[in-house]
Amino acid sequence: LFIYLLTAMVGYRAKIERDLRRWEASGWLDRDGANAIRAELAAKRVGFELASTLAILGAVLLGFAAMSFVAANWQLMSKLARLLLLFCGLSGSYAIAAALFKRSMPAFGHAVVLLAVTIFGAAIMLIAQMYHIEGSPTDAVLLWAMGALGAGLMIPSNPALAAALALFGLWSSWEMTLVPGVHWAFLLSWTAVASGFAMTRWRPALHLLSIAMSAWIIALGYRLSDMGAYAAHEIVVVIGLLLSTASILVGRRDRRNRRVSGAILGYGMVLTYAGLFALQFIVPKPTDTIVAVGALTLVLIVGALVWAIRAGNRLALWIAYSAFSIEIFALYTKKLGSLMGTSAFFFVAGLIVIALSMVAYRLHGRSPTNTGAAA
Amino acid sequence: MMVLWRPIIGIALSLTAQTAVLGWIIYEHVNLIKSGREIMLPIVPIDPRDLFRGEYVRLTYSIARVPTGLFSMKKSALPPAAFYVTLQQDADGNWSPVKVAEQLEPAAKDLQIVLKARRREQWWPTNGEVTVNYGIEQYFIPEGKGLELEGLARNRKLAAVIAVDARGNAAIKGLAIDGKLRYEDRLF
Repeated sequence: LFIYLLTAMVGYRAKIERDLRRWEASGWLDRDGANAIRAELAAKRVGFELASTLAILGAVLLGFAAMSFVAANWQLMSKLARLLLLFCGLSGSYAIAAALFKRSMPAFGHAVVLLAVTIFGAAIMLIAQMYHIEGSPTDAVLLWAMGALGAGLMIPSNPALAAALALFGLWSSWEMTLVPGVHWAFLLSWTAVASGFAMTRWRPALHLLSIAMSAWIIALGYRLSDMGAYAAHEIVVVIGLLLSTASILVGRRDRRNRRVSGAILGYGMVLTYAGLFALQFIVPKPTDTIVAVGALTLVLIVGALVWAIRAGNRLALWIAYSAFSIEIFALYTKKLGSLMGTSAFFFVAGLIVIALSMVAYRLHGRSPTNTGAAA
Repeated sequence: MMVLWRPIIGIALSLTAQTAVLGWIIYEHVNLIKSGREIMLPIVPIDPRDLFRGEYVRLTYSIARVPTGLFSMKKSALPPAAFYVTLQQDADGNWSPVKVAEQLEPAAKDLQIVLKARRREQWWPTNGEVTVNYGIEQYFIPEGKGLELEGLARNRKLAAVIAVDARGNAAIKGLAIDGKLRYEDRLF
């Protein structure tokens, strides 16, 4: 994520620089205007974001230092001294965070809050280690996650909320390895984190929340399938399709939230394909069913490709291409009955897609100006 | 400028809540070690040279294996639900499980003690024994102490000294060698 943010920032800077040169060359912008824009970008946006990103990275590193300090179980220092050190670290970092907020440097304040949350986790680990407390290890992660959530909600702080979401995810997946059945409690924790992000209105949170929820829904399919439920991966497919359809409809009606609905569409598509993939290749099924689901999958993928090109949604296009590649490769290795059967399936599918491409060409030829505008 | 007070109040509340939680865990545990009833459980022998090599060891006890016959409730004993195992001490001083209950019931006799337990595996075994955890299976070896403990334990009977409170919670107090407490964990 941090690497992504950094590259995105650097990329933005480079793009702006190219655009500025072009605008200057075409005479739309004079030299002073361009330099003023450069100066502002350098001083405010990029410099500031770089500083706060580096501060977060630094906080993460210090947090890992605290956790390794606990793991080392260093004996030159008594338990009490180590515990006091961590308590000092905890209150010290909160004090520094408060001072930074007071001096109107919230970006650094949030980084130090993240450090405090990590030290809280390290303290839980130290206490468990000091007293050989085992209990159930997932409870320790849950306690840590609750601490992060509490800080995230009360301050409110985006990095702390993001940490809480990651910890709840760890807790949930760990619980799932220990206990059979669906881990419904995750939904509660997800809602709590989401309410915090709703308060701060932080854009990247949408992706964090979507990734966590998508992972849980895909796991739900496998869980229900293990329990022998009547519908398992089918539910994942239905949720994915509903999400995709809803985001397309909302995106059409409401142009302001186009980027949000476009992103949600991506998650809907991933969910749909993850469910379809499991239905074909994970759960043992008779060949007829695999052929039927495989055909349905290819139809949906081609449909998504057509839509993505017309709407100019590159993310959807990219997901559809990936799904198509995975799908044909998986079908090929799975073998539909026999290799001859597989060959026949690909042959028919290939003919249909080529026919579609010819139809598309005809439509394109008749009204070249129409494509793209239809979206 | 008023807006900035919100995060500062939040920070103060977070610090208070987190410190309180950590303090409460420590208090509970110290209380358990200090006032809990003491029992000695032999550690199922593994090669002691291997036992103290890592950063922590998993201690195995004979009481971890509970006969399936003692379980009357099948569903509620599925992990992660906790249940209570009553141990009884025989004439040789060895403890063995005699009863499993869903609710905490005080031990009927002096030679009995109740421990809170959790099932370790998800499915019912076929060999007539269920493996359970009492929360005393993990022992962190202080860095540099491994060799010393290894020397103490060589060719001797190793046991864990366990403190048990009235609610069935158990905690490791130290290690005993040939029936004597030889390595006690400092509380702080």
